[in-house]
Amino acid sequence: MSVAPVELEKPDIEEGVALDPPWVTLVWNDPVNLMSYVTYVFRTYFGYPEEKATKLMLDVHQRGRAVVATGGREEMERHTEAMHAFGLWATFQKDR
Amino acid sequence: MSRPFRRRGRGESARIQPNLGPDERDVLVSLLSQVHDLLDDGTAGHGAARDVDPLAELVGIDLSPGPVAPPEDPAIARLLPEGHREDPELAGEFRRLTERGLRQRKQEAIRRAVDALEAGPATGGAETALTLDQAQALLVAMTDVRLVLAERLGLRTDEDASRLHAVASGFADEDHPWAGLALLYDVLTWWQESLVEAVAG
Repeated sequence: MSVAPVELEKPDIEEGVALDPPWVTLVWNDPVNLMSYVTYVFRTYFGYPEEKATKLMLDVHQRGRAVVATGGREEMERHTEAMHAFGLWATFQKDR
Repeated sequence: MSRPFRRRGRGESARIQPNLGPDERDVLVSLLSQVHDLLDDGTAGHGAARDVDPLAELVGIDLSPGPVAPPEDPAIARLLPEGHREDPELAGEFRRLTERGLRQRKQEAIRRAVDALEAGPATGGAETALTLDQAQALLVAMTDVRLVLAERLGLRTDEDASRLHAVASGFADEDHPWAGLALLYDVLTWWQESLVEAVAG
């Protein structure tokens, strides 16, 4: 099994326990990316099991977007950047 | 028609075998190279002649004083989208910190993909096999090519994409201005689907 050459860092403990509301990474639907590719990206980059990766992909496809990760702001920015590197349209924002 | 990409072997030693003719491979390489050049923001590479901070260049950060605006060409803007939807300042700051690095990463993936595709014998043929790493670079690079083509074709919604497929397969008139691009997009979609399947194993 191949693994994406991308940093998958452990959550930063010092930062992770803040009382601020967490941030999220959203992936948005687009007409270009293949369902199989999106699932593949969620599996390889986030390390999600097939079932979870598929469910998130379907959420993106059917609802227009899905929260693919939750955590500190810097981490969510890193995930957003990684998704852009894969050609997915992702954004980060404060959870609400 | 046989599958454009096949997986041979297991685990780390697995190889991805392209089954593209020389003309098909040339088209793919040409498209990849065009997207590579589109991603050039004029600062990459020729460092000596330009006013670029070498350290900023190395880490892919833009040293502009404030947030950076999105690219004007909508195709490039799709390759390097906004990181925040509602707050232009956060989006601009994200862009300042990431855009240059993303351009470099995308160009690097394209270069690896092109090198791997061109490493084979001039005739294409069965000897050209990609490592999983090379195949993954090609997978990512093909995504960027399809994003650019889709933008040029005006694909905005899933319905547009379905229509395009119908249009591409129905073109009787090869002189239609969209025929070439639409067919190309359709073929690339088919190749990429096959490549995902092969890589995901």
